Amino acid sequence: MKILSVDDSAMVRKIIKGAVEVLNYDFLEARDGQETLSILAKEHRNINLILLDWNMPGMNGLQTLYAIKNHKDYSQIPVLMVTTEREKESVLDALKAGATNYMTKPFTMEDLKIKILECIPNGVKK
Amino acid sequence: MTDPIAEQELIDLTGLLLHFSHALKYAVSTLTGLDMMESPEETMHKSVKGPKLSGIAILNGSMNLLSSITMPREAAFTFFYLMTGINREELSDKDLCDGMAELVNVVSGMAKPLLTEFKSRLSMTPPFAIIGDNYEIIHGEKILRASREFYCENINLRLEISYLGGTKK
Repeated sequence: MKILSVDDSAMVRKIIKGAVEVLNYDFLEARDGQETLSILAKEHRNINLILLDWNMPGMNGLQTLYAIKNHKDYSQIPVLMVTTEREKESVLDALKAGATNYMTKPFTMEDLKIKILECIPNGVKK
Repeated sequence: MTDPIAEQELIDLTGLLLHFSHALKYAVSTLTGLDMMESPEETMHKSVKGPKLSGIAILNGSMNLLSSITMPREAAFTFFYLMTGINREELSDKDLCDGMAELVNVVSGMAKPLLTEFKSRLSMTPPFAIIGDNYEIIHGEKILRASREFYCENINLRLEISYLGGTKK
């Protein structure tokens, strides 16, 4: 049971790793959209949730979300957007593209843990 | 065609900075538990000296702004320890820069919808950071800038925005 965090900031990934490990999930990380797709190619069967940043160099979070949701093998994986983008249009764009939930930065560890559990079907833990 | 200088005079940069200030205080409180206080005018530009680092983001759209947050390197170790729980010995300059870039990203992202009163959508470049012993961020003379400094315990930082023009008010 794994959670994949996609964020260009190593510090954010470390913060997210802390929450994921407290919840007893294994942690995977990617720095951008391209790396995300490489990880999904190998690990998609084991990934229960993707936490996806928006504002990343290269392939941004929304483009990555489209790529995930348009791929037959990945489309069922829930995606939680974790981003500074907070305009209503951005939230709607992400939800229309298939995001399961949306969380704006900054967040507390507690907020993050609650959102993660909301996104995983049946709140299953390993 | 709009005269960019005349247009600048219509921009309430202090008002815009206020949105960033509120965002900064909220973000710092959420991420570290610190309640930052605004530094008095007379201490401005005296507290953020020596080795330091700046996180920078650029907002584009109906207005173009550069926002920066600058912190002494020593203060940054404490700040990011509080933010992540990672000890000083394990934090590299690269980590500090990454953290500063993320901090300005969060603050600018929070302020962004308020800058245009939700009338238009600004985009934001991926943030970046500068680190060094003695640097200044310099703009041309006619670029409007506004800044504030904040402190809490032994952490101090400077928030600055620069108005780089835009297509409409």
